[in-house]
Amino acid sequence: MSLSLPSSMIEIHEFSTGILSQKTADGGWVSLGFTGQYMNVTVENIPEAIERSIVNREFAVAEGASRDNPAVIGRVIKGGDDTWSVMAVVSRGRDEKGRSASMYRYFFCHGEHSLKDIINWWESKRRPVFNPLETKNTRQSHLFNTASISATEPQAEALALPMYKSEPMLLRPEQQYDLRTIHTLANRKINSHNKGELVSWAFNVEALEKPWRFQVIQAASTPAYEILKRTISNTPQIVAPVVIDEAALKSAIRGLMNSSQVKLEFVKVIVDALNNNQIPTEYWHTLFDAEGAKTAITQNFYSPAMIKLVTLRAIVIPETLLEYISWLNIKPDKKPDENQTIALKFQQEIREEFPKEKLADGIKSLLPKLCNLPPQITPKSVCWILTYRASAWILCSQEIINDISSDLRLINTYHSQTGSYHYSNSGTHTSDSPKFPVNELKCYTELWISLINHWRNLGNNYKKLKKYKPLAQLLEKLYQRSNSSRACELSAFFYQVSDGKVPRKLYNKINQLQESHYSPQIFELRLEPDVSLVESIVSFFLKGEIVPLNLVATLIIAMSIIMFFSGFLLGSEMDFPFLWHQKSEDTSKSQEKSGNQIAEEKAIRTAIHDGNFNKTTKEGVERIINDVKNNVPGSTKKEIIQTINNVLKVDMDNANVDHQGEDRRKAEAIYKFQSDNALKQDGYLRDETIEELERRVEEKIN
Amino acid sequence: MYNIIKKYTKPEALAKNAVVRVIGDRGSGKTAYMASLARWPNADTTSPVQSVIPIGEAGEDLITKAQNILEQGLQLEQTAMQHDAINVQDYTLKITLKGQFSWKNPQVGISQLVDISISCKDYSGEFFSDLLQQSSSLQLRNYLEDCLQATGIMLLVDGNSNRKDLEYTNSIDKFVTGLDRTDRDLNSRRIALVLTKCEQPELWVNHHNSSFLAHARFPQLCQRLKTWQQMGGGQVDYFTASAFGMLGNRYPEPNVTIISRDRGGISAVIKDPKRWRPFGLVAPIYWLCTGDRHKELDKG
Repeated sequence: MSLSLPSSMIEIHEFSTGILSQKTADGGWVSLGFTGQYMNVTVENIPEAIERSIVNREFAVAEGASRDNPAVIGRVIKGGDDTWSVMAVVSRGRDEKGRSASMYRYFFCHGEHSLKDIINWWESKRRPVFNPLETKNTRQSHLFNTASISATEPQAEALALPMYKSEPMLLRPEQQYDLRTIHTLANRKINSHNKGELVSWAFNVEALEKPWRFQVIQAASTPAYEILKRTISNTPQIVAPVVIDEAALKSAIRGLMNSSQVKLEFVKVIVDALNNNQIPTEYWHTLFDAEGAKTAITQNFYSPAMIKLVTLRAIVIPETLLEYISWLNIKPDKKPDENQTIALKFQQEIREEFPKEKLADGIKSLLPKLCNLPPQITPKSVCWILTYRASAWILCSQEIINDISSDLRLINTYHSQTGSYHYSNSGTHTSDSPKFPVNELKCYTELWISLINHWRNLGNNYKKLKKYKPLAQLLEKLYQRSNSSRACELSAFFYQVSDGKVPRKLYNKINQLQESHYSPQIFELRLEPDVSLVESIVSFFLKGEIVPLNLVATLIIAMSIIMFFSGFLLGSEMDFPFLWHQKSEDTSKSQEKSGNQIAEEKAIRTAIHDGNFNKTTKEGVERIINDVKNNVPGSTKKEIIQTINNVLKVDMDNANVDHQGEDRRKAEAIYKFQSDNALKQDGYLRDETIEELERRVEEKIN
Repeated sequence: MYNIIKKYTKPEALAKNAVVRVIGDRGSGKTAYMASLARWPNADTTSPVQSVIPIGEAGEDLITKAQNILEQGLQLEQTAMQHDAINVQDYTLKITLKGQFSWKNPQVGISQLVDISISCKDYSGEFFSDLLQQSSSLQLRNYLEDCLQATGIMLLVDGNSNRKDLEYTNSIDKFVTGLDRTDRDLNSRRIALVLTKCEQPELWVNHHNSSFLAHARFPQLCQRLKTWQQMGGGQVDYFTASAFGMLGNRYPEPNVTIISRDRGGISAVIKDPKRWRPFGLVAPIYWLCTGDRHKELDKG
């Protein structure tokens, strides 16, 4: 571009739709096809902002709507620090087969206020339209002295038109105004609304692809007026925010759903848009629905592209995660089916690019549904999505534990600083205490309303908040998977809140963690262990309670029978725990051995005396080897067996399977593994035990 | 045993899908094919096709084109050539049809309904007629990379343009070699050669014998595709179709008004939109999805 021009001089550039053309006998031309590039370009590089606006269809007249009498579209475009005034002249061209097409000739100029100068220049040049025979090159921009044209007043009649409506001003064909007047009207309209919009108008058009993106539209004919009026009244409720490059976002979504390999630049476009607060959730919904997400869900339509689309939606719009889980028909106890495998592979490929908080938002949206009565999702399913090795949400499992913990701390601090407090469903507080800092909660407020309301009564046994039991179960599972002591504490807390007691294993673990001689406490809530009938009876004795004689007699008989049978089964190895209530570490260990040990011994004996034990174990190990080999490329048989041995802490090598002592060791190891992972305890390597072991082995190898 | 029976006779529809790129010369009828398929006008109740559902915004655009342009007896505009293949419209259609027994896909036969779905990009004709000739162009590389996603290619050729056989052969030669050089994973693909505008009498008489018709009209093109198949590039099969169809049954005549005719074939509009019933549109898609020919669909 020229460097020093007099202030009244402007430089107008141009470019046109690229076609191959042929001159006709009558001096006209026909198209022999598009080139996919622009032609007659008078500038080295067309500004990117203008190109993006064209790709976003902001100059597009609808197909079949361009006419012999050209349509003119004017628009001011901002891109970074630059602003451009652009005018497109759209006329109809034909190819050698007689098919028509809209041909565009664009004129543009630097600056926000040059549209009227372009109009003046264009009219002074006798309104040039698209012409492939008139070749131009980069040195042939147009210089125009704006002082050479005397200012003409816009048509007075037009200036009386009302400006208050926010929708586009649609002018009837009989209200024919000139371009300058249309431009002035658009200018006045943006000034009267002052919403930071930029001038945009369309003149002499039959139909536009996005009429809501204009301030003033002059219809070319009466039918055109009716069509445009209908389109404007049917304007989508949610239109793209002006700041967004909608075409780039759509391309990114399409690129991810339709490609077998993930291109990270597409993921980046989506993540950048996610970080833009100006994009409302509703707009994201329109984007995903435009690609068919809604139809896929309502019609149960599963193609790889749709599975990827709905997966992406579940990450981008966290509230849709529950719908996604039920659409994919996730069953935590079963191996992923074909559709789920596609979804998991895709999640694995894109998950690192998304902020963990966004993923955590999805899980947080599930928690109130988990704690609903009746629950809309099971703890097992939530745990699966949070811990399955290929799941995207595995990345935020720690985040979730931390956020729940932080919320409880917040509630506790609030209650310790203020008096009694009641948080009503409407969000208003009903006491004189300061308002609860709802905005500081990390999870959804609705999840905690009951907890906040009853926080001070949590220790009372009569007030059990049953709804939190699924949350307790979820956290227990997370603890089992991740061994996170915080998850263990939170799980115990919610068991206490919902059941008034804590499962023995968790209780013992917390006792161990807190190294206290008293009952452990979490958020000042004293934990009570889950006590079996026998244990409660024994405690009666040891505390010297006076109990009725008939109860004592019954107990003695019951105890004798139990002792007799356990002695019979276990011989001298039996080790009975009686002193659990002293809470020393030694005694708690011996308690665990109590009744469970009888069951364990029974199960192990049944297993190793069953002729099928060897076969089942052998097959189980082989299945794990095969599955892990498939799932973890590059893993070797030796490595897998070694990892199985490490996880089970026993030698599972097939070569030694016949030895009796070996069988017992294996059955014991499997039983222990089952008991540690809350699986069905039978000492056999089959079904869910195989799946769990497989998962562990894969985790270790990975 | 019960489980096996249950597995193969489950009531829900079986799903098969394909990612397709539609290529072919300018004016070969690619967009009309897609629009006609999405619109599926005057469906024949005896046809194995139960329904055609366009998915998403792009699919709905096809219906709009069919209604506002084809049904008004007008000609579709030329599809503009996009600079970047990512901006080419990607149409998703879900087609539900009755299953048929086949040794290749036994489960498809026993299941009552089959859902075939395609995600299909309708390339502008300039890709085939011009871009493929520019071997060093970045734009061509961009398009070929986009083609790598496809499991099937639908090559549409105006059945009346047999004088361009050599040009098509040249283009398809460039296409398959270009694809071969771009594809590191050596994926096998299916190419369906579809002769369009087969409502024209000289094609109509043999439209049931599509392989014969294709070889007779385009011997060199068929030979080149055969060579590609023999070299392990993938599978090729031949189909005949018409986006506008015929009028009448006993004394059929093409339901088209011809606008122009030259060595590049014919261009035409629908003569009687009320009786618009296309034929042969689903058969190539079924084959691209399953690798199997559907006898009922082949009957037209």
